[in-house]
Amino acid sequence: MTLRTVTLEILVMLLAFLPANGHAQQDQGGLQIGRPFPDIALPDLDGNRRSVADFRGHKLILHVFASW
Amino acid sequence: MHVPGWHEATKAWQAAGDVQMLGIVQEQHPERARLFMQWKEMDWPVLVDSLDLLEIQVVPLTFAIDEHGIIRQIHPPLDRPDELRRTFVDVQFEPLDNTASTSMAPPDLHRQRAHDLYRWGDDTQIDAIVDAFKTAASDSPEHGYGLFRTGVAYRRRHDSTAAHLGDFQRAVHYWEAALTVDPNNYIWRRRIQQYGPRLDKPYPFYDWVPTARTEIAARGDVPASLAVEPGGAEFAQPAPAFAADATKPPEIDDRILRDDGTYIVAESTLVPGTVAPGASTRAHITFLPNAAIKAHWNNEVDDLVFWIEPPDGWEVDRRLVTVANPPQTVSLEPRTVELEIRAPGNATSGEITLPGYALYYVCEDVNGICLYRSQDVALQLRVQN
Repeated sequence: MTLRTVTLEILVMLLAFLPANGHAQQDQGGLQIGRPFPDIALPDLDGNRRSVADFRGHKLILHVFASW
Repeated sequence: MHVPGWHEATKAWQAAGDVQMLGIVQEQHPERARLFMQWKEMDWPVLVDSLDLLEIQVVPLTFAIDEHGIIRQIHPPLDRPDELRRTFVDVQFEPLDNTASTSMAPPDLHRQRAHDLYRWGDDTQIDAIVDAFKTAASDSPEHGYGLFRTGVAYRRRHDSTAAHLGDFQRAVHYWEAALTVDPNNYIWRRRIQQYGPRLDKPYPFYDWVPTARTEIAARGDVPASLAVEPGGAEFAQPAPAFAADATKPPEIDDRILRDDGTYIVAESTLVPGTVAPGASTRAHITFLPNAAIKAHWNNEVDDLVFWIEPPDGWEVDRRLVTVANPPQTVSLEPRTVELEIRAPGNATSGEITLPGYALYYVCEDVNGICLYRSQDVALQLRVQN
């Protein structure tokens, strides 16, 4: 995949997001493709200390959500 | 939230060991995500980021992260398994060199202390948690995330057994202050909308909870318990009607004794606490028997009623609100009244008080006397053009 198609894909993706919130460029904070996901420790639902980095070695699908 | 269409497909990938599913939930009350996942049979680990330390401003948001921890895709094509396999699952990614890092700035010491206390402290430390956020926020009052997170800490204390009067309103105040720094932050706005007027809700929020419980129970399972039950504001339906209300006020005469808060502690919170002319706010008024004098409800007489007297031009969805007595004779629960208030279109900027009063039957001490009492409750609101 060329850089151009990647850029295009991102653009299409961001445009698809625009109607929902109108400021897509900020939505992902400092999280960018090609960068490590930040190693921030967070509690799990039982209060245990976990981090996204604990899952190194696996292909990960990370879904950030709210139940509403 | 509706369940994404790719949920079924992820079950097969996860079972085959192709990918690991991981959730991060951004709610004020994260245990609701546990009930949601139980309902939808989503069996993956979930981390909690109520403070939004990741500074993600929109949910849901999905990342494909490779075995080296590098973000390879945002919004990966989960609904197109072949494409996901070709572009992610089957790809051998190279690790980055050591110079690459995320662009997130490390927090200063005060912020770090607040974040650590919130994440790893329990509610016995809630006063220290709130103080740590106040300190961090006073260091940099223009830091929107600092203001938002201070609100999250106040709301957590409001929900704890160590609640201080006014914590909920302070939480709302900090969330509103955060939005003045960045009016476009979706997550901050959602936190106010969650407890705010029903008409302002972009979607139903927690309407799914009763259905989830029914369906989980029908499967023969026990629904996960919630630390904080969703309040009336957190269900989107029905929308309020600001119609003229012909209800008459409850009669109150000189024989009814006043309660200045000795027997029942009243706390009122307006979400938001500042409205533009023509905009609405949701009032939450909670009545709690004073444990210091062992006050308690007696449910053999009338229900608690609350009456509001809106000033000229102000509209409310209901003027009279009743909280039904529970079946048991004696009880200690907090009783919450919620109603919506709309400012007139020509309201002038400044503070306004909307007077109201409650009537209830309350007892003093274990075998003490029970009397019908009334308490005045003034709702304080700010109008800002």
